[in-house]
Amino acid sequence: MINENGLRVDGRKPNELRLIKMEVGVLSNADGSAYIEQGKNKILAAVYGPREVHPRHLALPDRALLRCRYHMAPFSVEERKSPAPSRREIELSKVIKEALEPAIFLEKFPRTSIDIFIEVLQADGGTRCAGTTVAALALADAGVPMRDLVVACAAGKVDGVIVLDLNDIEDKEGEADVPVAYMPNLGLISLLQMDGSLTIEEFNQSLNLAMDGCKQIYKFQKEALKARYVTIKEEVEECLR
Amino acid sequence: MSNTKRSGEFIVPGERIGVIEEFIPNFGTYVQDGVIYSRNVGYLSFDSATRKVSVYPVAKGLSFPKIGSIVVGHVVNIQGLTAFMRVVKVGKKNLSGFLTGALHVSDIDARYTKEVLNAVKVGDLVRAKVISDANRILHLTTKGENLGVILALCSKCGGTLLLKNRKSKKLYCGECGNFETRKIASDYGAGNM
Repeated sequence: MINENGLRVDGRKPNELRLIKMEVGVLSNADGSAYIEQGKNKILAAVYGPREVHPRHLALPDRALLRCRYHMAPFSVEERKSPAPSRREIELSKVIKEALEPAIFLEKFPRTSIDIFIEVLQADGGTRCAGTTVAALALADAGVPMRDLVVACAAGKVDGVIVLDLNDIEDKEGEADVPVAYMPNLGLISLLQMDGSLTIEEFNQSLNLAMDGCKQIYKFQKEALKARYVTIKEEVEECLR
Repeated sequence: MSNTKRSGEFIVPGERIGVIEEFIPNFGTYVQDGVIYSRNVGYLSFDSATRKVSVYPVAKGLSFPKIGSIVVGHVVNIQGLTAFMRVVKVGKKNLSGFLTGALHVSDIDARYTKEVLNAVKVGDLVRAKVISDANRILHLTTKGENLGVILALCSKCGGTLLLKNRKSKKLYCGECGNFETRKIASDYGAGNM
């Protein structure tokens, strides 16, 4: 998995991210939306709300209900995936929801819901992280007040080497995977999972590497928002002229 | 401070703006442990006279009604003294979903209204103003010239109710000639949402 030059299957160095492209405001009917390409991952996120909760009994009297649906398109993986939500997708919906929840001022919108839809169009490992990152962008695009953006990245162990941002092969063949969601300005971690086995030392190393990765991705997030709104401002000024 | 921010700078949620000893936090910001952070995507603004710091949002703007917002919705239910409205538009923005608001008889008109059904009926399109969010329910009013029913249907045949003339404020059905009363807005039937 790691060649004699210390490079990984896709030619990256151990602490190197995949190529990232982000775009904000890609869907016209959603209140907020964003798109991310991270290596071969292609993910869309849409945010609707705050709006009334249906079914009504789910509404919370003191804050908004955050709902999240992570879904993989049938064509997103090599072998056709059944479009019905699998056990894994239900779990990821839950963990992504819980990763984003502390960043949002939910108490400003009692008795409403904020719905996030994450659609994986093409998957190549690390979709829960890329999905969290893109959902945070879509929330910011919707104008939902937030404490911080949330950015996620994984680190893990492949062939005895601690590596950043695992792809599908590394995730499956490697020894361990540690996805981390992080609020970079507040320095808080809102998602931390691990599969495989690591020593305490290796774990600490992976965690720090993943947080470093998050900080790098955060810069792309900020750029994506800036690219979206600075062009809007220019368009408005163009119209006024 | 190492990362001093300037007025007019583009800012995203969570960016540190300063501390409460330096500035008075205004809209678009929040304070945690004495530090002021942004909570919107927008442009930073420092008011040097008042020392207020705020973030002007650039996102499409959240379509969540505040007290004083003008909303448009359908009447979906009338229970006793209250009409319930399905609000589909707040300000100039159409909602992706909807919100429910309550319109009480006492808030329908400046004049005395004995029955809700004399002023609004189920299915009417109504423009209203938010007066309160007590108990986290949107309380609406249609008091005022430009507030009230903007489109109504005949309760007998379902035809569109037309305005006889703007002065009399009387509505009649174009299909069956039935006369009805409503608390109408000054631009009833003009097609303005």
